[in-house]
Amino acid sequence: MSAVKFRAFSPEVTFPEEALEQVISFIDSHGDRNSVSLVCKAWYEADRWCRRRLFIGNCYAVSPQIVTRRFRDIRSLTIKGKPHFADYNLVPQGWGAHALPWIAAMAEAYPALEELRLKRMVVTDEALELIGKRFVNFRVLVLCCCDGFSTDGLASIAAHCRNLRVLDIFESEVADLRGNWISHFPDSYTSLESLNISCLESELTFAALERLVDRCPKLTTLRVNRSVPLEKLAILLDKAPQMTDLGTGMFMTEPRPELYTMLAGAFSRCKELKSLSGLWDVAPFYLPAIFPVCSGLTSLNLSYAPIHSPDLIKLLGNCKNLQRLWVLDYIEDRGLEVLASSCKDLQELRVFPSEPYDPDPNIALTEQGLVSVAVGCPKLQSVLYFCRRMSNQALVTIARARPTLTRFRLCIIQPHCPDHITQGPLDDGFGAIVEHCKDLKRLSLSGLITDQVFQHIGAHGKKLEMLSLAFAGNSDAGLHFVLSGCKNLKKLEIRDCPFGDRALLLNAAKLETMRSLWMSSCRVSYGACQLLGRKMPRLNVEVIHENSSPGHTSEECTVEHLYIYRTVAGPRLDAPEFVCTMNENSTTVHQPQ
Amino acid sequence: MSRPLEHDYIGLSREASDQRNPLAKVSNGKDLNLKATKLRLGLPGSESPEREVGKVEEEVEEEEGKSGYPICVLKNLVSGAKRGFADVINGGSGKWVLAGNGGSEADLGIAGTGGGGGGGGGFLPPRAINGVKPAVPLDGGGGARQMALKNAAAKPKQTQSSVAAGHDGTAAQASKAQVVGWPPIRSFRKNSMASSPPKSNENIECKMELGCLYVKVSMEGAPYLRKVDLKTYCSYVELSSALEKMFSCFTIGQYGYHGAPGRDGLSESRLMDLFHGSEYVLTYEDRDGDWMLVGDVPWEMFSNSCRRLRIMKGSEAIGLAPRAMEKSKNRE
Repeated sequence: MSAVKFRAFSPEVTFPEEALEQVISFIDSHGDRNSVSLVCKAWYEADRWCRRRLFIGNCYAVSPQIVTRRFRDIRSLTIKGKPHFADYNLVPQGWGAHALPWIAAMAEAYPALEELRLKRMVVTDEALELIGKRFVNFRVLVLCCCDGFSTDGLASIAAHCRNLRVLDIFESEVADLRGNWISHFPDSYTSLESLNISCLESELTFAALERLVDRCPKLTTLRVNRSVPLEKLAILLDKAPQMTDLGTGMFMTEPRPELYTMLAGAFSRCKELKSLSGLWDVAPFYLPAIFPVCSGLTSLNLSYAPIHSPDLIKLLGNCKNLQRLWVLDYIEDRGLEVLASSCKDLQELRVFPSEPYDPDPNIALTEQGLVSVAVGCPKLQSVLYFCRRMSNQALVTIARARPTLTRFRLCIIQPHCPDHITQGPLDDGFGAIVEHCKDLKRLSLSGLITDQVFQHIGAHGKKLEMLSLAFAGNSDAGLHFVLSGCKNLKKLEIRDCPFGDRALLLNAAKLETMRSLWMSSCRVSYGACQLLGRKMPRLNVEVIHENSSPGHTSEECTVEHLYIYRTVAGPRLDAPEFVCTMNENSTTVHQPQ
Repeated sequence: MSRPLEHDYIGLSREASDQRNPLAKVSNGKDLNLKATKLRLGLPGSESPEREVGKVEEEVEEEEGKSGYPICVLKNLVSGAKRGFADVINGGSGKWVLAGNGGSEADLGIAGTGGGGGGGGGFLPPRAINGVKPAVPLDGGGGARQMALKNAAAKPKQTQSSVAAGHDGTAAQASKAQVVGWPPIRSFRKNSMASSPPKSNENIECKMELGCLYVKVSMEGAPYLRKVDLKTYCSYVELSSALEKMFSCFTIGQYGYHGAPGRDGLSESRLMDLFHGSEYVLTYEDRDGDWMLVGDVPWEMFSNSCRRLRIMKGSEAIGLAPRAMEKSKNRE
């Protein structure tokens, strides 16, 4: 560099590109990298060249072509597809989120791709075959809540991915053609570290699984499916005492003392075990076999285990280091009390309903259980709680005791259920939650809710990123409070609320700052959707018809499902006939498949 | 006008139902005889179908809070009421839809089949939203039927939501049972719970888990199918006695899983039964499409894999026995 007087923003004094890239490479978080790329052209270019990990929160917000044009060499890609409410069957089949176009584009542009994580996408066997054949160095495949593929696809992954470390198909819907796909891992393959196939229904070829576990010394995560019986589990554990994350199969068979001993012995040799799940159908006789590992457990998923309170209490009493617990409501209030007193490190609690469709099951789980945990567990951050009654008093207690909450999802099973003490709405309770929990990022409301609560949320929910509403509110004012108040809102999903056109149109600009908005069974008119689509070119306004025919909708009709998301890719080209994207031409645009 | 069997089954009194029938008030007893035509969108045992048809909005508000039928629908689920001709509820998924999006008309009111597959929408007339008001049909049966069809086809989801989202806060107490995607539980979890065996205590109780598992039962020579909810039984004995009652002319032999190690022993006894007097045997089609004799496998395994039942003549079933044995051998 020449000897020039130092001037702060002199154009001659530039930071060498390579150095810039080096520095930027240390920045991991996606959000920060995105910010970095916006600083100036030079930084944008640097980021383009050195970005290796990419997160795409909505597969239709951008196109594969745009991605491959911008980034030179991506090694790890995460893509999310369908909106969250698809989990509850609110998004019709065939809506979209196809993985194949992405994988095909990546195969051309990034042959060195190593990791692919997809959530709620439709993944076909063809797509899986492509992965196996085209990505030589492929290591990590995570398919979370995906569907569209079969065990044949898994077989091709097994057969071709020599360097595979992680195969995780968490809660995906797989066409279970046969269990012997697992035999397709070649005998020379030894690099498996994590295998999660707990969602498969068919019986696995156990001998092949056993051999696989035997020859993969680095296997630390193994979540088998329900078909693996208890005696086989003991065998697997014996071969893999290095296990840190175990998902059992069926934990039940007739009482056999020798099997119990074998099992208990195997568990006690697993000194590294931190996470335990599976536990379908637990027989109380075998439960104590787990006790040796309890004190080391940080994560326990008992949410498929029909164990009752007394057994749960015994179990949990041993789990002093537990940080995450997923459990059924069989735990009841008294079990939660014990949890609160034993597990002081608890960070996440999820309580699922054992009988969600029974209006009055004989289960003593009320708001009190949650209160105990909130009060007793100082590190509690994340809650998902299904129950049948709630009170403002309880919510206020929780809010005051635990302002550190970041995720609070409450599902009172009966819609419009009021405060059981006052019979009034739960506005004040939820209001207290948003007011005290200043770092709250995710919130789901339920029970009897009026517009009042949205005023609180708009006023206090400044860090709120995701809000889920069902059967709540009285009028457009509710929606308006949320859209105008929650600065950081990214995802809003609404069903069966009396929100209509006004709030939506008034806050149209807000929608471009969010990832997506889902509204179903609300009161938004077709005309409003057309208007929005016309005025906001950077939004895709998808009107999704499930039960009516798309051709015959007048402006006054309310739309069944509405999905609005920001995008730089324009209306999508793969929309099925029941999805109409409103666009600038003010008439509906049907994209035939 | 006869009330279909299902009403009594659920325990809804005729009187109570009538009180909640608004059209009885409105239309001067021009009871549109929809019941007689069995045109209904809801599940059997649901409220009088007139309610679905062209009510004015005020009545919607009034009635929502008192709607009794959703409760009885829920009771169906809970008490496991065996409905003879009940349609399949999409067992396990909890999704209540008019079967076949777009095909809903076909499902309406076929006599004896109890209305739209899976019940779901259309219990109440769609609320008037944004000026689209359902017309009040006071013109005799034909018109009303048209209306019911149209309403059902056009806005089943709307009505579903209008049931649940009664914005005056008096939503149907048990309407959640009919609401799609509520409570918000993933399919994977629902399916897992549905196929798990009854929760085990020290004593094994039989209690119904969520959802139901309807399978068709056909019998040789019988003119109609029945359906049974496998979830309401805990053992072969219960199932066989229930089926006996349903098809009183048929008998099952000594079924039941004895846990006997020797399969040969079991099938022998079955064959003996065939020879010794059971005219009929009970068979089922499993997940793989194979027909097997009932009783081979533990009850839980059976109820998970059974897709439909068939009561066959003993002579036909003899051919089954070897296959069933082989198959279970393959499973080992």
